[in-house]
This record gives sequence, structure tokens and C-alpha cells, in this order.
Amino acid sequence: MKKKIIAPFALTLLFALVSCGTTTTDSLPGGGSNGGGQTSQQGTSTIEFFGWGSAEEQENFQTLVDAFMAENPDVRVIYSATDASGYMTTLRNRGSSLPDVFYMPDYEFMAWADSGRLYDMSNDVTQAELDSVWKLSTDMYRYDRSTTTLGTGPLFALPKDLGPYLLVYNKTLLQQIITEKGLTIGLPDPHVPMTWAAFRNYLKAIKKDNVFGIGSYEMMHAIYSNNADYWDATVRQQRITDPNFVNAIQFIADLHLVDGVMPSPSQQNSMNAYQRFLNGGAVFAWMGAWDLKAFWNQVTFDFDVIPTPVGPAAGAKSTSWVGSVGYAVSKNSRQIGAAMRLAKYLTFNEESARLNYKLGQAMPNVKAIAENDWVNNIGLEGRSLLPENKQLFIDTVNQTELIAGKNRSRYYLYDNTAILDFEDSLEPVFSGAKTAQQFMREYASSFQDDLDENASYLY
Amino acid sequence: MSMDMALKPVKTRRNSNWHKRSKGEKVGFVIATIFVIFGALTMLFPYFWMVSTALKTIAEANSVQLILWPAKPNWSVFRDLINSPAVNFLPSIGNTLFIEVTVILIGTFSSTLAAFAFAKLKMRHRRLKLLVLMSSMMVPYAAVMLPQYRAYLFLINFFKVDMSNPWPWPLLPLIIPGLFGNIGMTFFLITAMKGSIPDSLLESAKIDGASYFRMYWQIALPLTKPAIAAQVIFWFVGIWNDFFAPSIYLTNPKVWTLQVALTSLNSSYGTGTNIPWIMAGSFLASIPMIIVFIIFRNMFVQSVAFSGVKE
Amino acid sequence: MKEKDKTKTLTPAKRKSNFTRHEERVANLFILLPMIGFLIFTLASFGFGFYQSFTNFNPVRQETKWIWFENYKTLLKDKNFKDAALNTVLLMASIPIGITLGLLLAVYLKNLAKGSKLLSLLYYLPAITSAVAVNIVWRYIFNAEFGFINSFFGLKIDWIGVDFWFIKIALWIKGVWSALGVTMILYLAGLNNIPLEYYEAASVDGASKWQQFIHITIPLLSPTTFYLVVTAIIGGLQSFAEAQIFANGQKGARTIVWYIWERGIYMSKYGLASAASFLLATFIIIITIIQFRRTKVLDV
Repeated sequence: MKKKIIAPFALTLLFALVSCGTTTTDSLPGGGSNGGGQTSQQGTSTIEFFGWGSAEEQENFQTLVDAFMAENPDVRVIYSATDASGYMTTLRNRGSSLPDVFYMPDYEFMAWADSGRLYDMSNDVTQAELDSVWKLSTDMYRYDRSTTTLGTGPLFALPKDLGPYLLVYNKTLLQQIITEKGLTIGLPDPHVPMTWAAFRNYLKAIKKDNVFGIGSYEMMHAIYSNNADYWDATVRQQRITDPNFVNAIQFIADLHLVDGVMPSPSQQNSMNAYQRFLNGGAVFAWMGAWDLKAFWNQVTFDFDVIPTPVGPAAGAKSTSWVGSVGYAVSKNSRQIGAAMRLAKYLTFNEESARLNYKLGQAMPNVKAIAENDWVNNIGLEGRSLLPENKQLFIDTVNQTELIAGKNRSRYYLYDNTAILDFEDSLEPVFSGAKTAQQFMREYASSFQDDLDENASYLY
Repeated sequence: MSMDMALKPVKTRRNSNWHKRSKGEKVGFVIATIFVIFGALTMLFPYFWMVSTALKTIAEANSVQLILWPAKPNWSVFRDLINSPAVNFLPSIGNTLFIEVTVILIGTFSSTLAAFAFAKLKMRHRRLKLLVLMSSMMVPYAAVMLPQYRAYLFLINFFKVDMSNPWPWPLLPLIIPGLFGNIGMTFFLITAMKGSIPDSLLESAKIDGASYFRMYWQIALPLTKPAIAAQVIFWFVGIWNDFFAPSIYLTNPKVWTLQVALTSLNSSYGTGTNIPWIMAGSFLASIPMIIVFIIFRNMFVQSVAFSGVKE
Repeated sequence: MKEKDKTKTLTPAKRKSNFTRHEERVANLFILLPMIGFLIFTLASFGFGFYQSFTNFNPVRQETKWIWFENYKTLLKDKNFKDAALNTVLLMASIPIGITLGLLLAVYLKNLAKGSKLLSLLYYLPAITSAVAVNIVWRYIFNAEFGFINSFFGLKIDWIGVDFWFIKIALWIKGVWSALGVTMILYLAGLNNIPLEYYEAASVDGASKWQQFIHITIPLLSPTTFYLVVTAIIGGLQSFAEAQIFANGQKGARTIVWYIWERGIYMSKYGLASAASFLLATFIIIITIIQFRRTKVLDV
């Protein structure tokens, strides 16, 4: 008797479990096509804002959100955040009920914009507003779903900030070494990029026991600054066997293997470049504007940024990667109006742009604030005056004759596996077990397979 | 069988026969003893290292030089760790115990009831049904992990659970399966019940008009108490030490169990982890189960040795 | 009146079969909970996982596509999966060492009059310590810069680094340390079942202790050995804590289950990870069936 009940019960459960995954946004019950927004009886709308950040960043954002709510008393914002590493997984797991406003990092933008679940903001933002922020920061959040092209078409997110990742050096330590060794070289030029050869010689000249010339070398900086890229313009064909690309990777490997100015992969594993730089174990390292708070408060040495060294290839230009996070609005939000107001406030508000640079969090995204206030050190004093060469950040996002900035590799991919697995596998080159050329030749077909899979999502 | 029994020396080989042994044997025995004692010290060493490192300062813990015992042992490290809000130590023990109590109370009921039915009641297709249940022992967790995870995500979104305050939802996928019983316990108890419950007792109970449930509750359970206790202890330790499934579901610190809270102290770079703390945490997390083991070691060995000795 | 009639029409056989049917119903009711648990958490879950391995669920698009065997093809081409499989197998190399040492230890303890209880307790401690604590402490014992091993022996080996073999050697050492107690306990139990007469008879026939060991002890312990080997293999195939906590994702220690976790939970590639889980599960099920038939577990 009990058996007769079990079978249909089990079948129902099985069916339920199976049908979980086969429904699209519209047909899911309950938590289906609606975002978190609701309207309560008093006429205030409630929206959910979801992001990530350290405890401190979260505090800063809560302050911004409170200021927004003060100016917009008819909107109530519920802000919550997770830690950065779990953010995307959590967002993906929210199924069809996305927050009203949420962080959209550059490396996941394409997938989300393509899904059609992001609200098209083109009609809610004026050209004047868009012109007030960096062109690179708004262009990059455009996406044309019909041609699967980035950089054109509807606007699917507003920029939170741009983060050029630049070469930084410990001025105090460097001056010390130059004096100790009686060198005739001066401090590096803040405006003109060095060539790779010149940079290697420089690092070799300042070599000292227990102090590495540079803590690590950013792969994309070497690749982009040698007129190379992972793939062709359509992102469908691999270009890692291109001589310029191979030479870029070999250049990085040789900094350790040949010149001995950079730690080995093992050493980098047990202490990362950032930590090493802070401890005075390396003269050069890399930094973004978000590191400023730590650099102001946790160390006492002088530091500054210089242009990324440029490679020997024809047509090469000093290029650094520029990361970014945007604010996206869920297409199915019930409070699009309120959500857009919050997103625009966070993006265009001048006070929050000022707060960003004063707190050492980011380069201001509002052009006027960056070019007038920030570069002229308005409101800054003592250690927060560093780095002197703030103009380099601006030049990188604006592109000048000698300096350029480019989006990160994963920005161009729908599915990041290609880059993740590539970076994961490169170790033999950096430890000297294989030359870059050997490795690329062997890895090219795997990389191409990953690119093909990436393309299969789009075409 | 108990550990005491397992360790009873074979009669003819008691060391009182030492003088009868050949020289070679004696030498061999001494050498073996040295190895065994060395091995026992090796077994203990990591625990010693845990404690000694926990008592070091961060600089001492990170030092390249070997420090066996710090000059000024920092005994307050345990207190600091327990009180630290970031680690959530005591609440995580609370969550662990919440899982333990609910799962073991209800799960033991389910398992023992089923064991009683298999052991003592008539049923058709008994072997077939046993086979069905046994097959759940064959399927590894990795095979059911993802579907259960997706089902969980679906329910979370369906009921619009506030993930910044999710208690107790993330704990449910760790509790609910256990409520339906533990197959290992059931199998163990089938043998135990067959052996310790005489049919005649059940017959007379039947004649007295007792329901089967009463037979279970008032005859079967009391008679197999030791065996049940052995399995319960084993299950308890298993849940306490469980890590894989909790690490998947328990992402918010408010719902961490002890093992997950412990891993939160581990960071990706050697520098940056508070090593004395993580050692202190590991030690504190291990002590309860070691104590349980020392007290209940006979029951432990019973459960462990059960499957291995069938022939 | 009616009752009297009832009992008259009930033959003894019928009365008995009423009892039996009632007993059967109760029995089925009593096993209902484990049965339901099996249906939901084993059968339905496994079935859905199997189904999922033929699909590609895209959580960003919230769409499921049926892609036949594409996941399996990707899996077999994927270097990460093949490396994970290789690592998993290689890491199991510590099993024979642990079993042998456990056997020797058990034989020794059997011959000991005093102290065997304490010693066996010490050896079993690792078995009841959580995998997390064990992996954490060994991770720092093997640390390249300030770990005990390097400091004590004056080495500079980067154990938990990018090298393929060092990390495995470290894990073998930890593996033997962890497993010794369990193998010892089981062998002790097994040794108890060997009748003394066998040894006495062999002594009379002039067999040395060593010969007795080889020709009596080992063969008669083969069921225990078989059980230990199979359980260790099944456990080893599912190892995760080593990859996640001890190695923190280092390539040389990535196991199959780590791959499933990374692709499935972290990257949300449910279809691919389900395919990998299905392959792993099939393998484990086959081994388990062999074990169950050999040890006749069903004879309860």
C-alpha cells in the first residue's frame, strides 16, 4: 500500500527537480520575473543595491547611500555587500531575482549584457551627463546584442570608476640605492616610457641583495605594450603564437631567469608583489588608485608612478590595462525609476567623486573633478598628496601620443575560461622549463578550443 | 568488539615468555619498539606543533628559524580567537551543535525504526529493499552535490530568503537528508538487533497485544542500546568533522559551522594569515572530538571494525 | 454476536495471514523514511545530475540547452580534468604504505603486554581529528619559508608550490600519518580472529616467526586488507580537503572532486561538472559493487 504512494510521489519530485533548470525567466513561479523592488503604502519605493567591498568600502558606500536617501526621501535603499571573490557566484545564484542596482565588473559585462537581463539605460542618461565622465568608461559599457559587439549600441551600465594599473616605485628606497651604489642614473622619467631594454638595464643597475628590482610583471602590460593581443579583432582566432606575443611573455620570464631582478614563481607564490613592495623587498611594483589608502597609511616611504615600459615591436605603444566596475540595473526591476536615480547619483555625483580621491579609493570618474581638483591636490595634504604623477592616470584613460590604456583581456570574452586556464598553465615558462615559443606552440590548440567555445555562446 | 578486546595479547606471546625467545627475536623486538615509539611521537608531533605555534607571536610563527617553544607563550591566544567577531568561533560551534542534535535525534529514530523492521519483521522482497537502501551507500556525494545545490538555490530564490541574514536556511541542506536516516547505522543495527532481540520476547509481546511500535520502543531500543550508542558517537564525530558540504552552502559567517569557520582563517598567501590563530583554532576544534574518543573508544572501535571484519 | 461469527469464519490460516499482512504494512511503514530519503537524495538527485550532464545551463541567461554528449567530449579533451584525474590517482600511492605499516604496527601491538592501549590511542588520534585541522597543521609544517620540515632539516624545498612532485610527496607523508590508525585498528580486529592453533601448529612444524607471518597472518588477513584497500581507494577518489585546504588550489594537488567543485560551484558550469561527477560516480559504484559482493554485505 505504501509502495503505491511512493512511486507517484517520487516521480513528482523527480519532475520538480528536473523542471527547475528548464524554465526561462518568465515562467518561474513566485521569485520569477520580479526584482526586489516594491512600493509600500506611503509612496516610498524600496530598492535593493548589492555590491562588494572590504568593511571600509562598505562603510563608505553606506555613507553615499545615506546621502542619496537624504536627497531622495521617496526612495529607500537596502544596501548589502559580500566579499569580492564570492560576488559573481552569488549574483549568478540569485536565479531570476536580481537586485535592482548591482555592481557589474568589466570581466563579466559581456555575458550579462548579452543575456538581456540588464536594463537599457540609453534613454535615461543625457549626452551631457555622459560627456562629464571619461569616454572610455561609458563606451565600454555599450553592447550591441544583435551583432554581439562591445563598445557600440545601447548602454547597459554606468561606470563606477576606471582603474588604470600603473607601474609604481619606492622613491625613498630607490634614492637610497642610487646613493649607496654611487650610480649616475637618475629617477625614472615620469612622462616618457622606457623601452624594455632600458628598463632591464635600469633594474640590473639597481640590483641589491634582498631587494628585487620589481616584484612581478603584469602580463597584459607586456603584451599590450608590444603591439600584441591574445586574439584577433573578432576574438575568434588565437594570436598567442604571434612573435610579438611570444616575445612579451619571454621578456617577463627573463626578468627572473636571465636578469635575476624579479622573484621566481615560487617566491611570488609565498609572498605576492604587493606585500613585497610594502615590505621594501622590491623597488618597482604595480598599483591601482584603490591601493592609495593602504600606501598612505601603512607605509612611510615616498612613491610615484611612471609609464609602462614599451616593447621593441613595430607600432608598439606603452599600454596599461584599465579595469572598471559599473552599476547595472536589472531589467525586471519593479522600480526602474528609483534604481536609475541611484545609479546616476553614484556615477555622476561630484561630491562622491571627490570623496573617492580623498579617501584614496579611486581616480575620480567625473572628468572635471579629476582634471581640476584631483590633479591640483585640492583637499589633499601630507601623504595623500602622493603620487605626484596623477596626470599619468588621466593620460592612460584619455590616450595620448605616448601613453594608452586598454580594457582587460577578460572584458572581451563571454566566457572567461580561455584566459583563466591560460594564466593557470603558464608556470613552466616562468620557471624556465619551457621557452615561451615552445609553450605557445603547444598550447595554441587548447586556447583555440576555448575561444571556439567562447564564440559558441555568441554565434 | 571493543578496543580492549582487540588489544588483548595472544596468550603464548606474552612478554613473560621473554626468556624463551631467541636472541634474534629479542633484538628485532627492541628495534621494532624503537620504531613504534618514534612513530607514536610522530603522531603526536603535529598536535604539539599546533599548540606551540599557537602560543607564538606572529613574527615568531613566521620566522625562518626553528622555534620549538616560544620564549613567552601567549596563552591568551585562545581567548582572543574565541572572542574575535570575524571568526565567529562560538556561534559556529552553536551551528554545528544545532545540526548535530537535530540530525542525530531524528535520524537515529529513522534508522533504528528501519533496522528493527528489517531485522525482526516479516516483509516481502526484503533483500531487494535492502539492496535499494544499500545502493545509496554506493553513490558518492559528488554525484548528488550539484543537483541538491541547484534545488537549494531554487528554494532560496523562491522564498526570497534574505541572504545577509539567512539563518537557518543554508543549514537545511545539511540537516534534512540526515533526518531520513543513516544507512550505515541501519546496517550495523540490523545485525545487532538480530543478535540481541530474542524472537520469543517479540512473540509474547504480540500475544499481549503490543503494537509493533511499542515493541520497537520498549524492547528493541533498550536491548540494543550499546550498539546504537556506538553508532551515534561515530555519527556525531562525523558531523563535527564534516567540511565539504558545509563549505559549499555556508558562505555567510552567521551560519558557519566550526570547520568552515576554521578555514576562514586560512588565506592564499603565506604572509597575511594569522598563523598562531589558525593553529589555536585547529587545536580547539580538535580537542572535543579527541576527548569524546578517549572516553568512548570502545564504541568507536566497534563501529569502525564492523564492516572490515565480515568474511 | 457478530464477533462470534467473525471468529468462526476465520480459519487459523486466515488469521495468521491477517497478522502477516498487518506486520508487512507496519514493516513497510517503518522503513518509509529511509526509503523516501533514498528516493529524493540519492535516486532523484543522481538522476537529475545525469540529466544535467547532457545540458548546458547558463545561469546568466537562465537558460538550459540540451547538448547531448558535448560536456563529455569537452571533459575528455580538457587538460585540467586529465591532470586532476592523474593527481587523484597519484595521490593514492600512499595507500600501500599506510596499509603495510598499519599491519606491522598491529602485529607489534598484539605482542605487547603493556602500553598497547596507550599506543593504539595515540596512533588513532589523526583519524578522529577533522580533515580541516589536519590539513591546516600539515600545510604549515610543510611551509617553504617557516615550516618545521624546512627549518629542522635545513631544506629550502617549496613543498606546496608549483612543482609537480614535491606537493605529492608532502601529501603522501600526511596521508600515511592520517591513515595509520585506521588500518592498525582494523588489522588488530582481524588478528583476533586468527586461531592460535595455527601458529602453534606452525611452530611445532619448525616454521620461523617470519614464515608464520607470511604464510598464516597475511593470507588470513586478506579480507581486511581487501576492505582497507577498497575503502581507501573510494576515499581517495573523493579527496577534496587536501586540494582546497592543504594546497589552496595549487595545480599539483587538484583532484577530480576539486575540479567538480571549481567548475560546478565556483564557475557555475553545472553541465560540465555533472558530467565529471557522473564519470566519477560510475567508477566508484563499480568498485563498491565489487567490494559488496566480495564481503557479502547483504547477508544481514
